[in-house]
Order: sequence, then C-alpha cells, then structure tokens
Amino acid sequence: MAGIGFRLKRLIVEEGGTGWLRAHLYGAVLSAGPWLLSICTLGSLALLSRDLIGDLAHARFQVIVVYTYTFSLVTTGAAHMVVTRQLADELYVGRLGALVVSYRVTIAMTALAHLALGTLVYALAPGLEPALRLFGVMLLVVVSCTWMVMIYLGAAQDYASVVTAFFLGNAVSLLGALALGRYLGTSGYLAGFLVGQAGIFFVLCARVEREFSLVRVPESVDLTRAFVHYPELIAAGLLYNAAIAVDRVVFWIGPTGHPIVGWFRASLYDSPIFLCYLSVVPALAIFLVSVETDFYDRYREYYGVATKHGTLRQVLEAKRAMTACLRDSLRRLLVAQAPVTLLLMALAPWIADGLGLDRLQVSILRCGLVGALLHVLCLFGGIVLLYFDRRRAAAEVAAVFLAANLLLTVATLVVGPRAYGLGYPLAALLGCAWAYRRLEQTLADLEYLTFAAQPMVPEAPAVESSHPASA
Amino acid sequence: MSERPADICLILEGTYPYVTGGVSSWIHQLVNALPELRFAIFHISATQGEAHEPRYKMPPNVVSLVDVGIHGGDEPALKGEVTEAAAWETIWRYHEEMKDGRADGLEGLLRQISPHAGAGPSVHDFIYGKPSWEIVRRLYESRAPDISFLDYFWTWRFTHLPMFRLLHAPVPEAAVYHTVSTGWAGFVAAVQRVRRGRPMLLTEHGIYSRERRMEIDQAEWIYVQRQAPMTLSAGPGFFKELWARLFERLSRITYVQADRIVTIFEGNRQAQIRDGADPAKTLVVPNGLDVGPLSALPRVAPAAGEFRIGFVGRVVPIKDVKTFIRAVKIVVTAHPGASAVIAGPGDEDPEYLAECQALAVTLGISERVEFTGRVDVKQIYPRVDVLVLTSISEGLPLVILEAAAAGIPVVSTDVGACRELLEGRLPADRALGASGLVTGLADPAATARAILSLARDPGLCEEMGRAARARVRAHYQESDLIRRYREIYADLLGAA
Repeated sequence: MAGIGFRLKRLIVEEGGTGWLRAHLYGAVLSAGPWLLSICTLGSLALLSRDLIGDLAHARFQVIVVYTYTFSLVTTGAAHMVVTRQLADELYVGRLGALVVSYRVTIAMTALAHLALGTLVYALAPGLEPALRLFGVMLLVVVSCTWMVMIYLGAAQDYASVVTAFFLGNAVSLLGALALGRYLGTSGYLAGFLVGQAGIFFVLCARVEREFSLVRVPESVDLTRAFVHYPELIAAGLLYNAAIAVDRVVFWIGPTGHPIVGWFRASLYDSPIFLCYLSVVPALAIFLVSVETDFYDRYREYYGVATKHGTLRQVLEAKRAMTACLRDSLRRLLVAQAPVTLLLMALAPWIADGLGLDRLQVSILRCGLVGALLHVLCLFGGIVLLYFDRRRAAAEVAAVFLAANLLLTVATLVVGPRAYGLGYPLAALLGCAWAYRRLEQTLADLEYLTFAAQPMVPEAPAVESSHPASA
Repeated sequence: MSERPADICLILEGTYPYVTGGVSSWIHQLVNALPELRFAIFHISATQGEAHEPRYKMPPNVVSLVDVGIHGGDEPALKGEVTEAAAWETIWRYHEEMKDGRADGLEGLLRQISPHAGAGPSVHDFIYGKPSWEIVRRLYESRAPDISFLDYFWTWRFTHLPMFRLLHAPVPEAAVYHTVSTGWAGFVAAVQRVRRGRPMLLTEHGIYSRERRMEIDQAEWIYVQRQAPMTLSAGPGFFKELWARLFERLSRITYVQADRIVTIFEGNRQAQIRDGADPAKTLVVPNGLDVGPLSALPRVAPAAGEFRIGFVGRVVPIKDVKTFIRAVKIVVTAHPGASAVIAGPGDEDPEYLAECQALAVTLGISERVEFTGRVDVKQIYPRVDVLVLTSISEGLPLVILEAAAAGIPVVSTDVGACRELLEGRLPADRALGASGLVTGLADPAATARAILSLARDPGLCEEMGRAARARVRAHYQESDLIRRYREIYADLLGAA
C-alpha cells in the first residue's frame, strides 16, 4: 500500500556532560590565580631586591616579566577556551586517548609558536643583553605553556597539586631571583625567576602525565575541527584577554609611559592596577564556591527536568529556582566584595604610602578597585553565558569590554591626569551591562533556547558536544 | 522535460515509480493506458537526500518527475518572509477549530500564511521561530500540560516538519491534481487545490489513516509515559494518539478538498464516509485485470483423487500463511489426495518464511506443501483447483481477480474487498452467483472446511469457476478501469 513506513529514530536529548562548564569555571579562576600569585612574587621581589640590584635592574627584570604575562595571556587566549571546550567534549564521549594526544599536541604547538614569536621579538628588540634575550624567550615559552597545561589540570580537578606547585614554584622564583641576581645582575634575576616558573610548568606536566599514565592507546584527534566549530570561543578568549591588557598597554604607549629598556615600557598605571587585581580574590573565591555548589545543582536540575520527560511547568519551576540562585550568588558576591573594595578605597592613601605610590596613583588605585569589582561581575556574567552555551554572547561581552577599555582609556589620556584610571571601571561597567543584558535575555528565553533552538538535524561537531543545551 | 504544464499531476507517497507493489502496478497500468494525457509525477519519499532509481520504465507521457523527502536531510536554514502576528494567531485558531472537529479552515489558513510555495514563514521559521514556539507552547498548555514537554515538542517537530517542507515543495503545474492516498500526498494535493484552484481527485486503495494507526499501535519508538499522572489529557498512549490523529486529520483535510473520492471497493467507501468524506463525492472503481491471457491458459487436469490448493502471495505475516498451513494439515488428514503450493517471494521476511517452513515440518506435511519462491503465476494457476487467501488485511487482492480469470474458485478470509469479489457488489453482480467461499480470520478449521467442501464437490468448483469468470469479465476488466478514469479525468479537465 502507498505510504511511508515509520523508520524515524527518536532523537533523544540526553542529559549532557558536566565536565566542560566546570572546566571553564576553573579555567577562569585558575588563570586568574597564577597571575595573582605572580603579581605577589613580583611585588615581594620589588620590596626585597631594590637594594640588592638597584631600581633600574629590577625595573628591567619586572618589565620583562609583566610583558611576558600580559602578552602570553593574549596569545594563548585565542586557543584557551576552544581547547577547554574540546577537552570537555572529548571527556564527555570518554575518548581519553584523544585527550593524551590533544594535550601533547597543544603543548607542543604552544611551545613552538611562542618559541618562534619570542625569538622574533627578542631578536629585534633593541637594548637587551644576550642573556636577557635568551631567558626572555624561555620565560615566554614556559609561561604560555603553563596556561595551556592548566586547562588539562582543570579537567583533572586536582587543585591541591596546582596550588602547591604555584606556591613552591613562586617561592623558588623568589629565592632564585634573589640568589642569582646577587651575582649576575638583571639576567641572573630573570634566570632565577625562570627556574621557579619552569619548575611550576614541569610539575604540572608531570601531574597531567600521571593522570594520563593509565591511558595506553592514544586516539586520533582533530583539533582543527574544534577551532572551526567554536569560532565564538576563539573570539571570546582572545578578546577577553586583550581587554584585560589593553588599558595597561595604552598607558605604556601613551605619554604616561616611559621606556625601561628598548621596546619595553612601564607606566604609573601598572602598580596600582596590579594591586586592584589582588583586591578581588574574595570575589573570585565566592564566585567559584557559589557557582560550583548552589548554582550548579540548580543548573543540573533544570536540564535534568527538561531532558527527562518533565512537564513544562516543572521546567519553568526549575528555571525559576536556578534564576533565583543566580541572583543570590551575585548578591552574595557583592555583599562580600563590596566592603573589601570600599575599605581598600578608604585606605588607599595609606596603602599608597606604604608602597611608595604618588597621589595620582592613589586615584588610579581607587578607580581600579571599582574596576576590578565590576570586572569580576563581568567575568561572572560571561561565564554564566557560556554555561548556557551562549558562545556568541560571551564573545560580544569580551568585545564590548575590549573596545570600551581601549577607547575610554585613550580618552582618559586625552582628558588628562584627572581622568586617569577611569577607563577601566567604565569599560568593565559597559561589559557588565552587556553581559547582564544578554544574560537576562537568555534566562527569559531559556526554555525556548533549550527546546526550540536545538537543531532538527544533529550537527556534526568536532566531537559530540558536552553541553546539555546542545547535546 | 517539457515546458507545457501537464494535464494530470499524480501526487504519490512511497510508491511508484520507486517502490514496486500493487499500487505502483496500478499507476503504471493507468499511465500507460492513457497515452493521450500528459502526466507529471510528484513523489514523496521518507528520507531526504536518498538517491532513488525508478523501478519502472517511465512511460513517454510522463513529462516530469519530482521527488521530495520529508524526514531527515538538511537543516532547514533559510529565513522566510516576515509574517505578522495576526497570521500566527490564525494558525492558533486553525488548531482550535481542528480540536472541535472542523477541517475546512485550510483555505483561509493558506491564503493568509502560505499563498504559494516560498511565501510566508520558511521551514526554518516554523521549526525554530519564536512565534511558532509560542503556538506549540500554548497548544501544550491547553491540551496536555501534564505530559512530558520534551516528547510533546519533538513529536510536534517530527509531525510538522513534513508539512512545512511540503508547503514549500516544488509541485509541478497541472490542470488536475490526482493523489493516490491521503496522508502527506493528500495534504500536498489539498494545498494545490486551495492555492491553484484546480480540481483534485483522490484515489485511496487502502484507508491511509487506518493503516497508519495500525503501524503506530505497533511502533516501539513512540514514547509511552510510564510514571506520569493518568489524567484525561495524558494517558500512557498520548503520543501514539497524537501521531494517529495527525494522519486522521490529514485524511479529513484531503476528503474536504477533494472533488472526487475514489476507492476500490464498497467497504472502503463506507470507511471514508465514516471518516468525514462527503458521500456525494465518493465512488467505487475496482481494480481491473487484463482477463485475456489468464483465461486462455489451458488447465492441467488433476489426477484421480488429487486436489491442489494454491496460495499466491508474499510470505509475510499479514497474509497469515501459518493459518493456511494449519488448514492444509486438516484438509490433508481428511482428504489424502490433497496438496498445496505456496507461490510467492519469501525474501521480504525470511524469518517468517523459515517459521512457516518449520511449521509444515512440525505438522508432518512438508511433503505436501511446496514453497516455490518467486514464480510466474501463469505456471501456477493451471495446476491449482482452489485458491486460498488467509490474509488478515487486504484491499482488493489482485490474486482473486487472476484466479477468477483462470476460472478457479476461491476460499478467502472476510477482509477488504474479498466478500464483494466472491459474492458480488451490485445486484447484477450478485446475480452471477458466488465464485468462492468466505471464512473468518485466523480460523484454520473454517478455512479447511471451505476447502474440503470444494474438494468433495467438483460440481460446485466448476459452477464457482464459471461465476468467477463471468464476474471478472463483467466488472473487473482493466479496460473498464481505464474507461472510468478516462471519464473522470475528462470530467475534471473540463472543469479545470
């Protein structure tokens, strides 16, 4: 008889993996952590070593380290989120063998790329002695690779090892710099610091290798496809890391900057802004804990109800609970961070005094404290957007932050010293506004996005997507 | 192929020219027999993007052939025209009307939403768009708020994607649209009827909505809610009911839009009327046979005491071959000279074939039952004294016409057109006398009794064989079928 028989296979939307969103979360916190720890090391060195090797030598050392950290975050930023997602996707489908390969390929590519980049830059940069060039290249390679190794450690979720490695490594850096600096000047200083940072990298590598030691059979992996598949994550990673660097770069390049050695410049903006980054440690900690515990449970519940034959009423109920939890987390974050920020703002003159900052830097410090608070809120919004697989929106937030930070910082330089430091908080505010606007839209439309935005025909991602909203 | 629009556009679903079978043969026969008419064919396949090879040599009067898949395939990517909120509200109202049992709103709906292919919301807008989502959400909340939303939503997608695709399908221009089933093909024909205002003819061989309902009842891929509250809106078979209702509504839409509703026997006509067809539009045009070749076959007389029982058809469960074999066992016990031949391909369901062969062995009659496999039936009919059908479902089985042409009496279960074919439909037909015996379903004893009554009464056999020949010549000639369709087409072309 005429007619088409049913040979449809039910498209089942199974509950997705949980790995990737945690990975993004830890990725954010873990990449902020080492940065902060390194700032501490630099700060300690600054206090301890002035007399040892002299201000000028220390400044040369510090500027190299700051440039290395700043630019390696940007250069690895493009790959960071994509590799994070690719890793979680592979974990979701249980292709551990692919992880081993993607890990080694990622580290090798990162090392090669930064070796080439570093060699080029340090070969052309004028005014550096050969040893500084050599150690500079090595530090760039080590630090960039460390950012990428962290992705895999985030997945292993062994934070004790990470924290231990960073503390010990920075201690070695501190002592090494002091010890070698005594005899070899700036290059010895850098070499000592490098030893500690390289130590961190190798310990982390060993930790990852141990994690993978049980996986005997490497599987083929196509990293290129992940990059093709998640272009928004390339953009989000690159733009975000550029956004957090661009205000400092503008200050270096502008009339506010002064050359330290050759191309390497510093500005009055650096020290206060690094202090500001340190001020948001409580917010980052609370962010980590509240998202990991309360919000994550509600989030799982929401996708659980949506994908396990729940009624729409149950789905909406779960959404309400999750939204309420999100607002609550945000509130708690503000309640904990705002007093810290306000207190530091009040204490700014005394802090400045203790650290030898001038009056202009006090106002930059105050602006930066507000900026760092808003910056964390913006980061929070961006990461939650990624939780809902709103990759494009996350990239938009980063783009807004970058554009605003660039333009407003330039504007403050044009206006003059009264306005110095206002660019960063205003840019973070705009980034925040964009993130929360997108987040509000996402939450309002969440059930529509959860159901109706699903592709009719399952797409063919690099690997099976681990996100519950795109499973 | 050709620029000039066709006279007739056949709208077909899962059949000619890509799938062989009874309906396909019927279409091939019809198109070949009407060389003066130019046919376009619009075929609907289950899956998009599958390469198809026609299984028939295309007659020269087929001027175009379009094949459209409705499931799977490419992601609907394109955005359509912006449609104002009022139009979406019309879609909502249309669903409300259907809930109240009305199926006449298609014209108004199409005029507002999709006046021609490519107009109005695209497939992408329907599947992913916010207004479309809002309608699904409202339907869910008003119809079944206690059911799994995930399953409701995906059932909606799977049931409606074909509709959205077919709304935009490139259906050839023609003076008359002729669909050979309701369902998706019927939907396409109804849409053409509304959009182009051309006459539309429906021929239904089997009752589509009922066949689909039987399939759906058996389907294992449809979600059955287990722990959910058993409310009125949400019984465990809710999603099966949704699917079944979809096809019933497609049938109803087709019946409402069709200018003529043809089926092949009276029982089906009654079923169509029960399902909403206007009796005034319905008529019966039985399938026909070229009687000549089979009636000219010389009979091979049986040996003394021999009685040869024939089964002609595919060895598949719907033919209930096992009941046939059990009946043969009873006949053989009572009539030692009896033997049986099962003539038909078994490759469609090899497992079932093996079970049937094992059954014959178990019953100890494997010597008396021959499985021929695929065979030329002209070799079979001369050597058969009675043709037996034990099917649990049939339309108008060609084998009964073939047996009649060959002058062989038939024992058949009371399904489809079988009783009409053996006892007559119209008074003049009845007057010819019975050409076979009708039995109950899945009743080997009854089938055996009927066979034995013929085996023991050669006079009855002869009488029934004569009546069979007379009946098939009078009412089931291929030439009659062609003449009737020529008339119907001419009539509709005149109206076009």
